[in-house]
Amino acid sequence: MIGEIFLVFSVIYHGLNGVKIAIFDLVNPGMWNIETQRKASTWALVGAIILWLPAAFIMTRNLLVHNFGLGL
Amino acid sequence: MAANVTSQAVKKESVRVAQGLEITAWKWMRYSGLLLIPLAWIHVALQDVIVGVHAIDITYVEMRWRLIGWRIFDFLLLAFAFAHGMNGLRQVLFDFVSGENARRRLSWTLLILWLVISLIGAVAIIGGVAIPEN
Repeated sequence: MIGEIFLVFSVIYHGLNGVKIAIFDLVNPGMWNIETQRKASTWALVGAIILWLPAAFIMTRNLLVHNFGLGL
Repeated sequence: MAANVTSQAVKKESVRVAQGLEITAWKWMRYSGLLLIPLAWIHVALQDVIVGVHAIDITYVEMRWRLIGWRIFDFLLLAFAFAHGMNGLRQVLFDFVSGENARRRLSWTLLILWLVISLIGAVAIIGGVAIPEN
């Protein structure tokens, strides 16, 4: 379940990075240049962290409540 | 020199690509990937975050699968996610396996593995849950 928290990050990041690739490939392949890709890659990572934080918080809380007797 | 070339904007050129199974697979990696955003993310948000693995048992699955919509959802997720994953694995393994014959054997092995596990999943989704009486 600790691994699951990182699994969720991987799913989110793989998704955003994949959307990035799919959009560049299908919509505008001309955007495959280093400057644009640097920005896009950074945004994919930042977006993934932002989406992951609330999920990680809820899952960590569930873990503490169910496995470590956190009374809430 | 190569670094200078790549840092410039890509010159637009239309290229003719030979049609075939590999091109179809390449396109479908993009299509299925986009489709998997709602499918996989809803699945993860629901099962891992909102419900949580502590609360998932056979009763929960039985309740969830009473709605045909969730069975269709799970079936689509199984079909697209697993095919997407297997093809991705194939691409990664191709980076390490060279040679026409070896790659062909590898592709067939993965296809059969995909088919067998997909069928087991399909049997589960169609067959549903029978809660043992005790």
